Amino acid sequence: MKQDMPSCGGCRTCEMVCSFHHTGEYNPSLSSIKILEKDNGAGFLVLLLEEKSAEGFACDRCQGLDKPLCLKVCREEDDLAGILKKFAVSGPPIHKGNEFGGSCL
Amino acid sequence: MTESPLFSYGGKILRVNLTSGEVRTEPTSLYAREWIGASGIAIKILYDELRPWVTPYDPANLLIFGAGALQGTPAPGACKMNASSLGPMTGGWGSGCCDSYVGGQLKYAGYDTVVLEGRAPRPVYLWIENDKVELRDASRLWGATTWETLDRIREELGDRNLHIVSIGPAGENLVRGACIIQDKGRAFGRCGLGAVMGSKNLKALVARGTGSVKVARRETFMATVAEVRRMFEKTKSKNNFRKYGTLSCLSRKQEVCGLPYRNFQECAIPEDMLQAIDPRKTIEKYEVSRQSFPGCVIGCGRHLHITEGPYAGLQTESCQHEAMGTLQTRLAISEPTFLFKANALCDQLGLDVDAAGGAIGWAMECYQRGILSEKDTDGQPLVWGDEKATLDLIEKIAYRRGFGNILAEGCKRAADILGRDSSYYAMNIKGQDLYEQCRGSNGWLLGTATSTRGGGHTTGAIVIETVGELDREKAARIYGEDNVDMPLDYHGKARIVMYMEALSRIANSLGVCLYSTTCWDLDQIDLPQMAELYSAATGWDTSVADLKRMAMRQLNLEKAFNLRFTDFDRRHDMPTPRDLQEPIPTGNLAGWKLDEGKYNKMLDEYYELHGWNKFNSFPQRAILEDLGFAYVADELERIGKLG
Repeated sequence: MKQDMPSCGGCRTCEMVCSFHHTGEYNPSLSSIKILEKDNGAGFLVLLLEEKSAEGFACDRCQGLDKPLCLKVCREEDDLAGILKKFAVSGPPIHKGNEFGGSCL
Repeated sequence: MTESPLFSYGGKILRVNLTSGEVRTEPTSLYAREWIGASGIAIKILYDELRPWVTPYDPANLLIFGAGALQGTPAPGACKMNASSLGPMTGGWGSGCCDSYVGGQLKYAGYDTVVLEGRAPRPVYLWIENDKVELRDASRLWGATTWETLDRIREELGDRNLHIVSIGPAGENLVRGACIIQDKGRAFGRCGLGAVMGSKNLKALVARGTGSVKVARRETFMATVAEVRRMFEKTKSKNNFRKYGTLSCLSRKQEVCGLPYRNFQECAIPEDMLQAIDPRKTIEKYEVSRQSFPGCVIGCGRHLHITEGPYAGLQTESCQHEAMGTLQTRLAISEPTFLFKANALCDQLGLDVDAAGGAIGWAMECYQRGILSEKDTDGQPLVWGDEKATLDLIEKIAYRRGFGNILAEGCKRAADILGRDSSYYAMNIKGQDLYEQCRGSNGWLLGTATSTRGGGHTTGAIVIETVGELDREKAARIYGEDNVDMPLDYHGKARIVMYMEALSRIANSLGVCLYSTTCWDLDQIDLPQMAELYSAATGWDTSVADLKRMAMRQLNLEKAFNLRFTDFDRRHDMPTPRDLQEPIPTGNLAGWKLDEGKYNKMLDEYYELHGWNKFNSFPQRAILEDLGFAYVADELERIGKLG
């Protein structure tokens, strides 16, 4: 699912903590959330992966944690929460949580 | 025997010989423990490997890109990458940090540092994708602006989310003030690093990595990241800084006489101009989106689309206050959108804004005083406030056309070429064009004048000195003196400069943005947080004292490097003649004049604190040996520069 997020500045901290959630390491190429530049070079889109692929892990909405890690590090938490909410409605069912779930954040 | 993993690092130093195309790697572990990363590793390599006869554009010079030790992790503000070399502007240590996606990608590809040696026989760009390291033909890109280069490389490599660092025409043409641009809007500024890259026929460096950065103590690290992020929720500078970046400080700079006007003839601008150019209004009017870099907690960048006025149609990233000072107020230009136009043009051409403003400011003052006339300037009158003349000169500098060919040498060398007693108006420290208004801020002045990379406030100046409304007790706890916010004081400033020298070097080596630190807001990241983050990330218990010692090792090596390549001594740590001789003419500090005797006493104290000889500024054997540098002391003794 790809969504415009006008308030996103592209700090991509969400990508780093997302990959940490899945792997215990920082590796944005495996994250479920991807921040993409818009075609005109100004502003960003948020992509959430529905299925695991070479692009990264499927978003499990940080099942088992009190709050998804990407929200915890987002300066525009409300806007990203809105996108995650849409994803929760349209996205795939959650199968399982993750051993590296960063409760400390 | 397998090596123990190196946490928080990519793990390898990549060495690329551009002459032969040979690529090799060595382990980062050779350097990491003692030199942290980025600028720290770079000065060690530069000092050890550059022989005294090497010159900046010599193929034997090295251009070193380094990712910060915390880059690639969510450590708050850890978005900075460094470039270092023997720089053509001062002839000594050249180093600049830049907000960068590329640094993180390098780490994910498995590298911490890229050392570029030699000179490519034809224009190339370096494409790094994990283990694949390729020099690709850049003949078609030579001559392109940095903006065009980004678009074309993304198209050629088929990934429109790739990030690059590149040079523009200024770097290709060996303009001494050429810089290196990350994507389109951020710069490895100062020192002429773009010209070194041009001399190597290297148009760009592109990195993409799909590996991991691991930290040693995962839970502790993430907990510290969370704790530090929470600190930022309480910072008072947060709201303004998030919206406008350092451009938010214009009115405060006016209050403290911190703005260069007409090439530093005055230190405050006319009130109507202050109202007209208020960048907050311009940003609010034309903002279309935001821009920040990996791990940044602040997010000070903005994309603007100027929709009216002389620059209608311009789409560009906003800039920082530095460009305001050096291109707008220094040149007395009142059009509020000019700043963004001139900054964008410099970025496209790969020209450092300070090098442009410094040279043009000098030329305009020389014209004002009749030292230069249209006969010298290709028929162009150089009148304060002339936007078109300024934009024309920026282009002429980048392409070394006509009069621009002289200005391309930087204001100091331009004055040397011109003669006619014009050097008084060439505002520089150690040959590096100065944008800093130093009169009336003694700690800022001391840190700027003694800077090992020449004029500039990011390696030791007391930036917080004029910020105002400080919690004095907290400031004293952090900086070690109780007069941090007393800019006209002389005493105690040397000690605070030493703290700033450590803070900036530690931040730069870790890749932490200096403007996320206590550099200007006491509630932001300080050395204890950096020590905690670094310890948890690497698994090496590292105290603040350890970090400070490593920073002093870097500083002393920069100093020794300068002594090898330049004739710098105490005279080069002095303020400009104008700052020494002229009282502040207008503004809230009108009539205030620097006391040269007291400045010299402050400088004596600075040298004593460093263990450097106060007569010539050279490091003494005792401090060098204490830092583990007996071999450096031996070399300085051999060349007659041991203090």
